[in-house]
Amino acid sequence: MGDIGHSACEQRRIQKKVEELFDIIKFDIISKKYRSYVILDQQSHISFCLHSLESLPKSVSTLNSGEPWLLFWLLHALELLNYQVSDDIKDRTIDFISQCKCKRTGAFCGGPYQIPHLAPTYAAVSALMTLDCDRALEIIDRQGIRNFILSMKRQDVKGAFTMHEHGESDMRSIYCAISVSSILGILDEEIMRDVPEHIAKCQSYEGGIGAEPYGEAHGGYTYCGLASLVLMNRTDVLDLDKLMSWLVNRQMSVEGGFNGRTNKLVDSCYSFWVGACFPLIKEVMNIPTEISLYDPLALQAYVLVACQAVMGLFDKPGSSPDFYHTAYSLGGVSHAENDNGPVQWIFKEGMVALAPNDPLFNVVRDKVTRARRYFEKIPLN
Amino acid sequence: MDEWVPLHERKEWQDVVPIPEFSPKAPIAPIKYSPEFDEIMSYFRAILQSQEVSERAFKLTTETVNASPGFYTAWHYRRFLLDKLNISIVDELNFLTELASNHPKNYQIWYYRRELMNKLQNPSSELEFVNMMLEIDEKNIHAWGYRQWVIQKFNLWEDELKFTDELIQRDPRNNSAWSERYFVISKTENLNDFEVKMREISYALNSIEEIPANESAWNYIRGLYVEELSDEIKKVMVKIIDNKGYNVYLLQCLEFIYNKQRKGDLETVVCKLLQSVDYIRKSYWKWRETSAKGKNLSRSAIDLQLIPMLIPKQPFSSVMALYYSQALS
Repeated sequence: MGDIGHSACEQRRIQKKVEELFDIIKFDIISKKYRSYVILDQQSHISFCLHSLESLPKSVSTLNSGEPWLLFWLLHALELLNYQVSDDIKDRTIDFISQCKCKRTGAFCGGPYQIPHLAPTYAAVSALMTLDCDRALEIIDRQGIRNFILSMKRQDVKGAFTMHEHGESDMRSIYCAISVSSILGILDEEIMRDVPEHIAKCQSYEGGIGAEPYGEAHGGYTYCGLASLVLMNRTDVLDLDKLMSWLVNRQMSVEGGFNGRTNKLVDSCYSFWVGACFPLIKEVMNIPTEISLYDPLALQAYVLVACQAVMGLFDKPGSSPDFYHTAYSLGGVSHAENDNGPVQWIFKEGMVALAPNDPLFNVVRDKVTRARRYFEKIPLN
Repeated sequence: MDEWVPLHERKEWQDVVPIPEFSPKAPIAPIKYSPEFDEIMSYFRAILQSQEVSERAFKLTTETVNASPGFYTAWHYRRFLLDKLNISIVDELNFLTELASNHPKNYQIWYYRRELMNKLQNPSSELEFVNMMLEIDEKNIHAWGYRQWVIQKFNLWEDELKFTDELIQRDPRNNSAWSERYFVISKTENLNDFEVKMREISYALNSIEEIPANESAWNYIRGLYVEELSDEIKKVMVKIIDNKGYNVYLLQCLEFIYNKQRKGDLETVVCKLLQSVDYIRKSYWKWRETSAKGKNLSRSAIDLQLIPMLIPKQPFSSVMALYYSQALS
């Protein structure tokens, strides 16, 4: 074992890059002192999203199998940045998402003429929630979606769901099924049957949750598993101490951001996937809000200093911005600002207050409240 | 796509009327597809709608998934045609292999491979294929997921423990390899067997003696921990601190052990130390300290040796170095 291995080399390389960026503003991650500050460039990121809503380059062609995702990422990022989209954008979005609705099942597809799939169903419902109006929520076929979700329940693996007919099955599909059911008010015994037990089997020896039983613990799958259990009120099936210890170790000591797996590199999307697990686990374990279980200021510093492009955000220095990382890193910053008592900003001079995000659905909090109320008052027929 | 002939110029497609992309008058987030991409998708929509079962339809799904590998609807239709047309499973696997090396993180390719294996029932070249994929990226979570599936399905356990050892030797921080090791042990041996636990914890401790600040190895120890082995672990800790000083993962493991042993006062000592050393998790260790309530005041000989060693030796400014320096120096 004389050789230090590939992981350590990669880690050292990214660590050095982030340190160099911190050094430009003389930022010290321990004392949080800095000589000059970095602003969250709200206007530029808003422009990035608004331009994208008007036209997208052919370089994103392969996202044609997840068009509701594109809309969700863009609209969600705008909401987090406190930008209110126009009625015109809302109408066009509703029209388009209506075309993504499967005529046979009522669930949503990755685009018009495609087959229904749990992930775009989740993304479409989230995008519609984000629009914050009854006419968006009206197009959702709750009974249809309920039947679709039930039809995705696997017979061979109890408590698991496939994404679509003959599709893959992992922790993502569980979260999509459970979170959509919950917000639409259709989460019942039949949908939940065997699901908590299956998620428990996916908690690894490290404490985080994997895609399937014995899979490696992973930030995204951990979020999906934990949020699903919170929604089902069944976190009792997890070893929470172990989960917590794994979660806190995702924060990188030099970079300040989170990685998604042990000994992997920092990535800004885990600002949400891992960051949103903290308010959830705090709630479950009755830990007061003011106690932060990670360093929210260091997390903000990573995203602001190391992940901002001229327009949009990216995963780590050296990458190009994309919509997914823009939405998920902003979501993480929103949690870092809002989840630990009074609002906290790393660079007070130029900080932008992001809209408080809901850790269970990853939609801005008051939109979730609205959707819940909307579906509560309409009976399921 | 050099030498690509547009579908509308191909003789065999003359009878098909392509279905254009849905394009409302007031679009939202419209993608400027290239004409080639747009045409492939338009013809695909046409055969999907007519549910055409033919050789040319199958070939078109090849073009469709080549253009957009995550386009699950085309994969779904391709699977349907595979059955209807009695396509060779081996040919299909070869097609997937080629595509996978260009799109190693595509969900559809990996999942479809499981379905093909279910049909073929012959995994003879599968581990070789996964090895090739792990050459590209040793931590590809899709590759590991498939590997675990195929090993379980066809009982390919024989050389797997050795394989994880090779990977760990090459890169002790390859957490996927540690995770695979845990999987193999869980499935092929009795994890409640003390001998098994001892052997595996020793394995990790050996690795730690070489490279002490390795979270993967410490997590493996914590995952397998039994009270009876606490002294063994602490002995190695003493040795490491003596030779190379402590590091955050060692201290975290010690805190974990004292917590399990209900030695609240010793746990508190370690929590306090972690608050300065593991500075990024300072507030977490503060909270842990308040919950360290165990009343077990017994001390083993090794505790008495260990605790005095925890007085900080390094000045605080070099604390960051504790995370990686030992391995990198």
